[in-house]
Amino acid sequence: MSKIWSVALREYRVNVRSKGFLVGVILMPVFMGGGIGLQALMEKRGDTSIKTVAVIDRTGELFDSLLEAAERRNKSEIFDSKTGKQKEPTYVLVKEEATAEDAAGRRLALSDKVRDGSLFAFVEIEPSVFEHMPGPTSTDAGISRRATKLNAGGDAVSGCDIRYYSNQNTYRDLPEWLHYTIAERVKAARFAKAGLDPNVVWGALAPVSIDRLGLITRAESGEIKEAEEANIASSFLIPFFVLMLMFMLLMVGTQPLIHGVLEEKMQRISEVLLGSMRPFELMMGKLVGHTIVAMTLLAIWGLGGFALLRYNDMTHLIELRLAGWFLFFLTIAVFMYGSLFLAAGSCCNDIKETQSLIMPVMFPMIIPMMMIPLLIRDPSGQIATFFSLFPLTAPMIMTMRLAMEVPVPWWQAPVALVSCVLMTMLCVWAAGRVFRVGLLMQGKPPKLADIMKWAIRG
Amino acid sequence: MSEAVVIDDVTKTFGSTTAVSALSLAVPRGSVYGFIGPNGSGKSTTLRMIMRIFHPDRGRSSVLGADATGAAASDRVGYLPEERGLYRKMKVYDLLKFYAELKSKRVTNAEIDRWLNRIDLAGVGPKPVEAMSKGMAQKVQFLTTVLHEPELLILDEPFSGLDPVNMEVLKDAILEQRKRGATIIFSTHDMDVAEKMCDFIFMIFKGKKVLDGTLASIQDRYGRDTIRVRVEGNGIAFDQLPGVERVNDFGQLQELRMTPGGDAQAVLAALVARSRVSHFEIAKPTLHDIFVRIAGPAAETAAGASAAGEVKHE
Repeated sequence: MSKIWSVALREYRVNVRSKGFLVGVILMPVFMGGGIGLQALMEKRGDTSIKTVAVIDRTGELFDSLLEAAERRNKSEIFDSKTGKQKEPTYVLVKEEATAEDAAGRRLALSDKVRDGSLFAFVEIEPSVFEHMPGPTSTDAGISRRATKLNAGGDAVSGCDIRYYSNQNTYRDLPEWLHYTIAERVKAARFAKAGLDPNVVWGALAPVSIDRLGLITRAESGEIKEAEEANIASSFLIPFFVLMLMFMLLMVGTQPLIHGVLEEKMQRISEVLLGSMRPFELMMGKLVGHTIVAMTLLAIWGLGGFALLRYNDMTHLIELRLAGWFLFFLTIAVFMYGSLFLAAGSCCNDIKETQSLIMPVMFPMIIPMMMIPLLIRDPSGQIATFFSLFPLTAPMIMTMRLAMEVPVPWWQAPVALVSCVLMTMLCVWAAGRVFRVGLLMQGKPPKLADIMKWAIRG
Repeated sequence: MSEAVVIDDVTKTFGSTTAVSALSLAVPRGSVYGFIGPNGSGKSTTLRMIMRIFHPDRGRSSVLGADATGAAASDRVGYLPEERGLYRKMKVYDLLKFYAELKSKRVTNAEIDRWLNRIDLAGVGPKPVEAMSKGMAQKVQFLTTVLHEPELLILDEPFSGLDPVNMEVLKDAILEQRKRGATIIFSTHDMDVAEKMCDFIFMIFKGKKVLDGTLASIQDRYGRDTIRVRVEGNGIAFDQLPGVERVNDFGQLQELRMTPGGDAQAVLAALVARSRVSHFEIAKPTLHDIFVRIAGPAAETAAGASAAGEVKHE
């Protein structure tokens, strides 16, 4: 036992003093703070570029009013109301003659202009925009059908009223503005044609508002507290932050193990160590040491985070219950992934070989990161539930679910914990056997089949 | 219990290769036991089995009275592996303390300094391992094996790569351990060292034991069949000597091995007839010569048969 401690302490000292740990300490706050700061900065700076759009108006009626709308927008709507500084881009519309011949050739020519940067996009407005008149039966279906088509942006030549071409379709503001502005003009025309008073219609179509709220709670004093507006912090930021925190802790806590083992193997230290202790004790010492490394990192960030929350008077965001689960899952995950990294490291002879083995072990840690959107949208769906109970992904996903507002059924967290513990025992056991054989193995790296054989036969 | 290490009919295979085959060995307490044998013959594997790093497929062994199943004796054993294993970034003080802790022993910086002084390494304590030369690191590695004052020392080629001065220092340090009462098993390729330092010599060849005993007893088995001569003139004089089966020419000195039943006087007479003899000595073969006889290119062809034959002689 005391030998396990000696190894654990050495691992701890070496790793806490390593550059990787320092980088880890600094990286997470930079990631989180920097990400938020950058976003704020972008918001402030805004995009003040000039976006030029060529318009082919086949109706012959819309361009002038579009141009007028664009000029009005450029004059008054793109500035910050308080500071008066420009925060949105200027839209410049250029008219393209709407001749019918060689449509494809013109599209190509305009596309080339977009490619070389002299245009941001070009748009074609078909006469059909005025054709669809509201009838007694067709209204909703017709509009939604066309809306879907436009949003999907798909079918380029047939069927659509407006076609927007750009190589930056991730930039949504411009096509949305065009869509909205054209639609306004078209609707006005339709009303006029149908003999309706636009003011009456607009009044009738005034939007109905909706507020998205959290749930009613009972305060400690006993009184019933009004629901707060669903805030982005508790529904998205906190779970996301918890997941990132777990990921970073596991990266800093487990990944160095593979390099540590490799160093011992390359410098032939393993043999000295194995002359003094059993392979399993050596492995345990390393895992314990790295668990403490992860805990240290958590403590550093935790203190910093607590100070920050305290300063902003937001300490109520910390949930003790969640913190407890977090520690449980963190410890187990370090042992689970750590033992796999150790087994992988013991099978390698040089850094190059570790590269190919790091990936498969990292994979279960990366899956949850890729699942973030799904987890946020449907935190208690079948897929989220499955992966939060599946032992290799449970430590990250279950903790994230526990951090969300949607309650996790009471039995799920304990089940996830038990499945993790069982899986960890299996990993540690199998890794221990691979570790024992791999450590003294030199020369050709073993094949996966060999590794499996070691794990099973010992 | 008078034996520090007993190995009984032990076999170890790796995949399809048999590293050690049906090996038996008994190392008396307090002795210096030398392992010799060509590269890849199974020396390190045997030492690793004594260290419990490898477990034999077959056979039994006991170390310091402890059965092979447990690692109970490991704190009383010091081990210097063939290829050195030190953490390059660690300071010598920290490193030695760590290795001592793994043997359940705590040492202070002052104690470490005393040890460092003894092996001419005063003052390296606060330095990292990577700042030391190879010879220095090797001596530090040796310290890791003796800090906890083990009863049994297992040294895999402790002298390889050392200059004569450092070799002297290390040799003295090893013998000091012996004076303390420790049993020492070491492997070496230096036959001269083996002859001078070891109470018992053990040779392993292709996984099988081929020699085991005191130097005298081993030499006796080969008889006084070696003649060392020094002559004036060149080597042509040694062709076709009667009763000589092999000539080993060292340039200044020649070693002649006689055929069984060969007559040394006849050889001398033939030599005198050809050239002026300045030195003529009838001697036992050196360990070097015996090693080459067993493992040399000539023996290689009939290796299996001869190795088996040698064991029968025991």
